[in-house]
Amino acid sequence: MILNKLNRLCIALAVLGLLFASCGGGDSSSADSGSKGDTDTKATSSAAKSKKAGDNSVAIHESAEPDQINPIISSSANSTYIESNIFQQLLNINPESLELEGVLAKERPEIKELDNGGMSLTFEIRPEATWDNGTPITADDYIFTIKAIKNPKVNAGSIRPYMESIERIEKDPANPRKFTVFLSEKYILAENNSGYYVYPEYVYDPNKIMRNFTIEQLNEDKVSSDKRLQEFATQFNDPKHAREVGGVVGSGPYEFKGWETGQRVVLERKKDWWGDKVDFPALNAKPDKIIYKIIKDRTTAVTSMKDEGLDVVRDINPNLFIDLQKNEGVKTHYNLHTPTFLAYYYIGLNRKSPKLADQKVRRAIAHLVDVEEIIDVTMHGLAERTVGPIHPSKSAYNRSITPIPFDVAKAKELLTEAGWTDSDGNGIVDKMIDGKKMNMKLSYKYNSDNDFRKEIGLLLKENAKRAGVDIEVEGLEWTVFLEDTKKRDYDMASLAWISSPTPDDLKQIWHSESDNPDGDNRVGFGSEESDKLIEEIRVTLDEGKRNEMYKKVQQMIHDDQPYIFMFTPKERIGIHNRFDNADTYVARPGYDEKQFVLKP
Amino acid sequence: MLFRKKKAKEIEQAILANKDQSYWANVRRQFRKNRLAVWSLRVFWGLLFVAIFADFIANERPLLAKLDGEIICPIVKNYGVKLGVSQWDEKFVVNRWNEHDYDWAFFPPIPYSATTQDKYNRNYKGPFDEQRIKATPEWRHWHWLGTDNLGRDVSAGMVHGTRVAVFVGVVAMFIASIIGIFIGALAGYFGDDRLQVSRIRIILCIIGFFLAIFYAVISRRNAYAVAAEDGGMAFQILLSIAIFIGVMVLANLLASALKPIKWLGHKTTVALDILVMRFIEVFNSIPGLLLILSIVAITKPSIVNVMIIIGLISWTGIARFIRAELLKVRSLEYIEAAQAMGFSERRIIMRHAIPNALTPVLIAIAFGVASAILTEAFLSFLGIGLAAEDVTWGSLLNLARKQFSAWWLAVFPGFAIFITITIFNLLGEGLTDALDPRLKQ
Amino acid sequence: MQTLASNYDKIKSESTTFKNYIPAFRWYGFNNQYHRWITNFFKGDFGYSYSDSRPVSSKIWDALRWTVIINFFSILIAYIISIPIGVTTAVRKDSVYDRVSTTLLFILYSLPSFWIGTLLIVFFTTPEYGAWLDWFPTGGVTSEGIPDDASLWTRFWDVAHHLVLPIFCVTYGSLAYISRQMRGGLLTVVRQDYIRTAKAKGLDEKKIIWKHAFRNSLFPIITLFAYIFPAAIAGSVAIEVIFTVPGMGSLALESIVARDWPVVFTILMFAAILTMIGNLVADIMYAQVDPRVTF
Repeated sequence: MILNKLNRLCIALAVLGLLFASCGGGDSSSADSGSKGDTDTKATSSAAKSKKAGDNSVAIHESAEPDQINPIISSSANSTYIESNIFQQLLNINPESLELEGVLAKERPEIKELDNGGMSLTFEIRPEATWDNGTPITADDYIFTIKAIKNPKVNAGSIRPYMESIERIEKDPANPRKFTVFLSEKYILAENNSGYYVYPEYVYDPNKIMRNFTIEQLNEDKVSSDKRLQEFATQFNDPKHAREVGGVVGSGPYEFKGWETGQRVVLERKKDWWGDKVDFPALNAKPDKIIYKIIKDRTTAVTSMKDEGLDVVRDINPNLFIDLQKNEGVKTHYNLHTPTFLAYYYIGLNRKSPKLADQKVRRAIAHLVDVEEIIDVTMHGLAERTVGPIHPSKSAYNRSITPIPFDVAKAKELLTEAGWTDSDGNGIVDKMIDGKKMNMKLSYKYNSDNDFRKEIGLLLKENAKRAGVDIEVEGLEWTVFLEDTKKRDYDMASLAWISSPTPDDLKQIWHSESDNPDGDNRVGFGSEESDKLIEEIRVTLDEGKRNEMYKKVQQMIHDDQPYIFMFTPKERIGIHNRFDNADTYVARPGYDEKQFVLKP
Repeated sequence: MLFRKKKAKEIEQAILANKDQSYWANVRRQFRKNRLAVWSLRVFWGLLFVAIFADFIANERPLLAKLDGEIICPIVKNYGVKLGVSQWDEKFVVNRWNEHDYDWAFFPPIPYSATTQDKYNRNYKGPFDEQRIKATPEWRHWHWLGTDNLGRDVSAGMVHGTRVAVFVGVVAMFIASIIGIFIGALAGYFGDDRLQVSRIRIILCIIGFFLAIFYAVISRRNAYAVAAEDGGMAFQILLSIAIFIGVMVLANLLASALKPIKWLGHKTTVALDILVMRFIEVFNSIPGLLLILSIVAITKPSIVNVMIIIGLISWTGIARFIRAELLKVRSLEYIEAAQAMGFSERRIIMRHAIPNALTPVLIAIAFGVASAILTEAFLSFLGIGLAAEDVTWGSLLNLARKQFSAWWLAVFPGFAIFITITIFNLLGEGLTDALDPRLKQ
Repeated sequence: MQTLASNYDKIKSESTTFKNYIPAFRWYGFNNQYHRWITNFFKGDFGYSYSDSRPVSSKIWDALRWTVIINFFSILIAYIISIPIGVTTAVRKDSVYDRVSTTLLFILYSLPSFWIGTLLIVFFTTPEYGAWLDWFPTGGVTSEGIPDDASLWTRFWDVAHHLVLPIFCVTYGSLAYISRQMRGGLLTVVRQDYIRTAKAKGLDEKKIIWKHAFRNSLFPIITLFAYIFPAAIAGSVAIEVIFTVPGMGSLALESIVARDWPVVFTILMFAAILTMIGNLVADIMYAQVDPRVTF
């Protein structure tokens, strides 16, 4: 569950940086486009026999090496997907209903709002749940996990902030599997955050070092100089617990069997796993083996599909996906899916740049972005326009906002209104700012490994010329690019955010408190009014009331136009058709390999 | 790649072994006999022509046109705009070049620039695919080599790519030659025994060297940090070189002034050749490609940076050739005669020794150009060191890797790289054979 | 913001930029970053990667394996193919066979391997252009599904099947060079007096070539080996990237792009050391073979 927020905090940028890193976008076999209809249904399964028939292991494509297999300290999305088969969380999002449900926990926790402004959540772990050595999973293991996160020497920087509000955990004296988590403040995502992974204490802390400390002590940060904390952290951060067989142990259905760098990570189904005793969909685990194959080059991955080398491929480049849809050979062995992807692409406009400080200018620029064309050229139509930070599939999405159309004349008009005219006849509009004549030259920055964003920039540059706006498309290495956005050294930045099916917390991106070098409000949005609404949303547990506020914030953002919201893409997944029960979902990664069953 | 170093060593020995004195004529005669090499030279002139006149071959602007009663020549004017001495009227910036209502207009053979996006032919249109051409006559505007995903004309990209490739080769080798000839000539002419320098000059040169490094590089590291991010690396490097030379000249002037003092003026022999050769060996032991990758990856993407870096790294081959040649030349009679007549060392090196040693350097340059072009294509193939709008052969090939049904993106630029590399290799071979007539027997 | 700007101005006005231009020599002792790094390097401790905190040595070891395998076979095959070609072209000098093979090899030499690699992986690893063209697996170095107790032979075939294309791409360029070396070497030897004497004595032509000339012309070819060390470590970046071989080239490129300096420095250092060893070996061999060469 935390993965969803993790995604947002740090992975989102990083992953999307890579996601479309090699998106060329393009449909080459145009000779027959338009000339004939789609011949989709002609493919017959009898045409070619699959060479993988009867193989009950799933080969999943990963486009990057996972960093480590240890949920607390890993920060790459690729790791997250692998970890979710080895470890288990108390709660998980049901991919179909998008509601939380108990996995390791018997059911969703009992939630109480406390008088001191905080809240409490009471969980109970399933009685059947045991570790591999047969000992039951208890409240102690959960408490150990939280303490490990709160140990300042453990490399848990990306997850620790979400656990900050946990004040203490009380064990039920009658039931060792029951416990109550006390939070210092109310929060819409509290259930989500506290329903975290549970680590086996006997493997990760055999000497029970962390039992010497209480959560209160760790919160107060008074014990951080204690040597025992360092001792534990050294052992916990060690590669032994991140990549070595025997050191990576969880309660999930699969056992970590090996990791060959640059090639594959192999998981094997445990023989007698506790979950088999419970009849619950989320505890299904059908395939005997899951192999994550690391192929960095996306073209190679798709080629490998044609050879049946992979069973699941996601994030297929749109241009290649369109080709696959026409490829009879691939269609006899694969089902191609395009589920919704909870992400949006935007161009951030730096409100601190003197040229973009005026709302009218920002709106004019928005009129120069031909989103339909961008979707068509770069995504091959596999995307949907969006107008705000909330995904259109969510009930909180504000449908009354109409997208800003591509309109050069209107853009010119707005620029003139804002005082930008071409006074020197060089084709570029200019204005006197602080006694200096400024030409409307804007830098459009993106990470240089991402061709997809480069194309957006080049398309925009072409259109912007017509309104007298000169755009310099500038590719930067990822870390340099992020550094520039942190320093607010940009006019326009092409980026994307990934969200999760859980309620959106807008504070991270839209609150003016986040407008600091390390915060994610890199465009400098925020007024007293919007800040207040955003804070209120965080503590409003009632969905109806929350949605009203969400809509208001979306309207404010739209009026101010700090982002040019472009579109939300469709995920592009191919799954081998020897598997049944292989549905695709909104929740990432978009499929649930544990449910795959061989067709008879 | 693997064997290039070995090859260099061999040619070096061939030079040392060769006792023929009048090579210019001899080499030329031998070279002319090699038909392949002669043809390569012709193809090279062709490439050079395309590179220099790229703007007049593929351009969205008309060569010459009459608009609103005024005759315009936008391609020439564009050079003025780039230099900042002229500027466009608004209508030319705001509208596309093919949207004007010309009275008459002559367009270049390829009526597209490398960056022109043809809206109607996006998403990889092949030469034989259906193309939507709005302008008439259709054949003039047809994308004969297809388009890429943004509808950019591949033939225009190829022409622009030729310019990039040739310039990378020429500029990189120009830089490499200057450094290589300078260092190689010093080592070769003076050898281990001929450089007699006063003590004071040695001392001051060593001190001056460290000071020069300090002022040229260390004290300017902030400027470099800024340049790495914001561009202008070329200027910074030139400035550093100027400072370096300046400091060294000052040190030498001071040494000349102090020479009359007896102890300081005492002459000692400096084994310059050994010093230079060991330095070259150390320099060569750094793997070039990895070094180029590292430097290019951290500087601002720009082809000029790539040219300079390749040049700064590939001078050693030239230095070794010229050293070998000079070691031989210096013992010839006419140089001895020049020395006997009391000409200064500098004059002997510049006027007599180097011109005679230049032929073998041409071999190193020919192979070097091939290698530089290949390196640049390789870098843009990996997408490193390339600004957003640059179109090069390597970047087109890279696109082909993402959309492999677009065969025209793989075939044409790949073929262009192949031909260019081949002609420079053939030129190098031809020169080698011409230089060492034994192989021709 | 205001205070920030004014603080900056204050600092700027008090700054002593001229100090930047006064050179100063300081001795920082041995306990500094560089000395620690270099001593650790020679002790075999290369530090930890920034990107995944693994020890650099284990990352490099993983990668080195594949690069060594590819380069070893590439060199072996190159020699096996090009030595006979070199000899036969020398024997039948200026024949049609000589000219055709020389031209073909020269063309191979000039073909950029990253281009050929791309074409090969597209055409020969999938059934897309006809099922009969699906000859090789698409990238990678081993396939999954091979049981742990599989025989060495099975494993070998699996790896070999994966590595055919990458090895081909690394190899073909050097064919031209080695065979030309061989040809040139043999031609030089054939002109020597003792061969002429042998011919005059009426010895069998074949016997002369293989028994007397061939062995003596091999020396320059052998010295080429010295250049293989450094090449193995720098690897063939593009080929490894195209065929997703997790070797040194991919590792180097990845670390450079991600600015994972501990890995980059170690690779550069290794490559430099191996180059020096290679040069030394080559020089010694040259001196052995050709007494005229002195240093």
